[in-house]
Amino acid sequence: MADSKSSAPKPGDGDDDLSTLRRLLLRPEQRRIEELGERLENPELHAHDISRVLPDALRLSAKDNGTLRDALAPTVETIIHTSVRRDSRHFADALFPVIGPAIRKAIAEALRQMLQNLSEVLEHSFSRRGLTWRFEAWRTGRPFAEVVLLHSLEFRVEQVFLIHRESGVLLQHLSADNVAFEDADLVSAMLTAIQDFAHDSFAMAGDQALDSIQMGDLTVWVEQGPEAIIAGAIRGNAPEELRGAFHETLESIHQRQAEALRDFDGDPALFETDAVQQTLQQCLQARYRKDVSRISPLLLILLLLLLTGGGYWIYTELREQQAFEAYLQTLNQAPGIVVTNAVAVNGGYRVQGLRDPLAAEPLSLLGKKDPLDPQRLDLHFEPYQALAPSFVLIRSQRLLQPPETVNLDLDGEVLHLTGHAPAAWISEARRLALAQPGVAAVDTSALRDQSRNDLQALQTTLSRQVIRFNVDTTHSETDAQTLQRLAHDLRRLQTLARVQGLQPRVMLVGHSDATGTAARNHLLSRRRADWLHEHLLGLGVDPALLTVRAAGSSEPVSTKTTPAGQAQNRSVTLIVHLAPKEEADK
Amino acid sequence: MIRKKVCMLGAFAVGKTSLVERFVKSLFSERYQTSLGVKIDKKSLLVDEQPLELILWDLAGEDEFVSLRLPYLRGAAGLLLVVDGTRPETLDIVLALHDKAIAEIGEVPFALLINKADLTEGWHIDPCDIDRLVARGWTALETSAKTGRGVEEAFETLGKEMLE
Ligand SMILES: Nc1nc2c(ncn2[C@@H]2O[C@H](COP(=O)(O)OP(=O)(O)OP(=O)(O)O)[C@@H](O)[C@H]2O)c(=O)[nH]1
Ligand SMILES: [Mg+2]
Repeated sequence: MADSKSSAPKPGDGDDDLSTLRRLLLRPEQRRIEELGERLENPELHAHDISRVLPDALRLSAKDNGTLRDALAPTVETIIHTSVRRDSRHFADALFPVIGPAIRKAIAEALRQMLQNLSEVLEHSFSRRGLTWRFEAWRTGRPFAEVVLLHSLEFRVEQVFLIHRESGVLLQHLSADNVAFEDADLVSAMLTAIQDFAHDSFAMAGDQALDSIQMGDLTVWVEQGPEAIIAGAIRGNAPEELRGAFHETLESIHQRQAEALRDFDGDPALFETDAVQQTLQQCLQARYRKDVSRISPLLLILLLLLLTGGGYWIYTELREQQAFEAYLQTLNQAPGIVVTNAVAVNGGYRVQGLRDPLAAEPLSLLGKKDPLDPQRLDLHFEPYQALAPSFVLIRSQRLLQPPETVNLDLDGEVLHLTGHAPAAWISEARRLALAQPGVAAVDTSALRDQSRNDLQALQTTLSRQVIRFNVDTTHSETDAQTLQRLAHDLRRLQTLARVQGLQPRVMLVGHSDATGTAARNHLLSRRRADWLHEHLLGLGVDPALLTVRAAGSSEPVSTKTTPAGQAQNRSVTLIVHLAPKEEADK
Repeated sequence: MIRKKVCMLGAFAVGKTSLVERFVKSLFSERYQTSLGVKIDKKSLLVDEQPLELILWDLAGEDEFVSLRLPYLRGAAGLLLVVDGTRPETLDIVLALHDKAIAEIGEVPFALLINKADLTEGWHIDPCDIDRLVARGWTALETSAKTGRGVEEAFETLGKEMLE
């Protein structure tokens, strides 16, 4: 066969022996080759062959790694694109059953949620319109949400009927959620009857028919097809586009259910399929006004006011409560006040307790800017004596009426008196103070007797007194006032000493300077002392008080030899002596 | 469930409305209120175990002022021809109506009901007329909307014929 090509028999070359032989020998093979050639060239047979193996090939490839799928994907995509471009209806139809219900569900859900929104509820609860609706809901027994929906409705197809045109028998019926409906069978038949009636009564020609019927607040739109009718019960004002939707739906049903419609004999089962239902769903449209969710600004302001008002009320109430508690604490801490009971009573507070009359006025403990209104306080305090140190002290003060020179101090239960006071007061005070509750002991160790003090002071004053005389004279030129004063002091000395139980003696000592003789000086000093003695007696001084002594120049007042010093020594001085009475009596 | 449109045909006051009322609601009223236009009711029943829903079109009875509105008959799967047993002339009227119906919608199953069977006193219909019709293969039944006699059977009989 290697050279078969070069020596291939030409047609009509019948007398070549070799080719005859070859034909004889190789006929079956020849025919087979011809067959194969034909098969290769004839596309019809080719397709036939491939179609036999293709399903298996696809199945195998899918089982493997999916390279076939990857290889096919771009082509399939292109096919879809072209198909959609050419006639989108097929795809729309295919997708419709999925998209329609999904969208409807989403809208229904959104609406439901929208209504649950707080602002909605408020709006619908407080506005006049809302109240009217509430009333309507109550009156009609419908849920409030539904009433709101109805009022915010632009339109809603509540029911769709697919009706067999001739018999008026209902083929399929759909109703929107939450819509109560009459017996659909009867409605369907009635609609047809009405159609028939209209057609007959108004002598409508051929295919003319009623396309809209008004029934109360429902409008029924009727779309007539050759075999079936679509009727939609609509609430509100539906747009003309809806008519288009009805029409399309009806057309599509006629297309797909042509046979079933033509041969209809009363069995609607053929139309109770999901496909028909989904097609009909297209007609169940609805549209709501947006303003449902808008809150009126007035309401907002009202709400705001209400909130701030409520907030302020709570705030003041809390503040007052706090202030009251603080006030109670202040009261309890104030000395002399004991709170036994504190309660809040109808808008105010009642406080009961004990109060020392010396304690602060309870209302005065309320700060000037205290948020607590005094008008709202009802205070009842029983009087009692508190043993607080400050009060014991004050009461002691009142009881003892101490002179200004005395200071009272309480240490524990010991009353300390310091300063000086008349002896009589002191002994009285010692007695009285112990009668005072809260005072267990009186300490007067630091309290000096007033008269003794005075006496000492007087003694000192008198001892320092120097009555001067001129050189060689026995008459002092000391002015009358000084002398009178001296006499007064002496009288006082006598009185004070007597109170103290002492016997006073005042010695008038006469002095002279050192010039001159001692005898002369002695005489001079004697005369000077006598002069004063006489004068004092003349001024009413008790003679028993005074004694006279001449010191001459032996007891100089000043040791200085200066003229001033010498002048000091020409004088009379006083020596005051106080002796206990008994001793003096002896 | 299979639904069939059934029309009630007959002269006025023969008891069409009363029969439907009896059949659907088991009620009866002596009061006569003439029907205007059409009133539709429905009732389900079992025919040989098979559920069937009748959509009953109760049409206004024909008299000298009102003639049957033929469009209402369209799509009817069955007819009930009602006659008042006390008024023989109502039989002629219903036969005429039947002919009109056939002309409009073709032959459909039907049954002839001779109503007011409870009023034996004034029974004036000629039994021979009825026998002649039965001989032609008609189904004729005596009914009384007042007592309920024969009413269920009448509707069931028609139901059965419609399903055959
Ligand atoms: N006794 C008796 N009275 C009946 C019976 N059926 C109907 N009636 C009475 O007959 C009168 C007319 O009955 P309807 O049912 O209103 O008659 P209809 O055929 O509907 O009349 P239209 O609507 O005017 O055509 C009423 O007073 C009924 O009470 C029956 O079986 N027996
Ligand atoms: Mg009637």
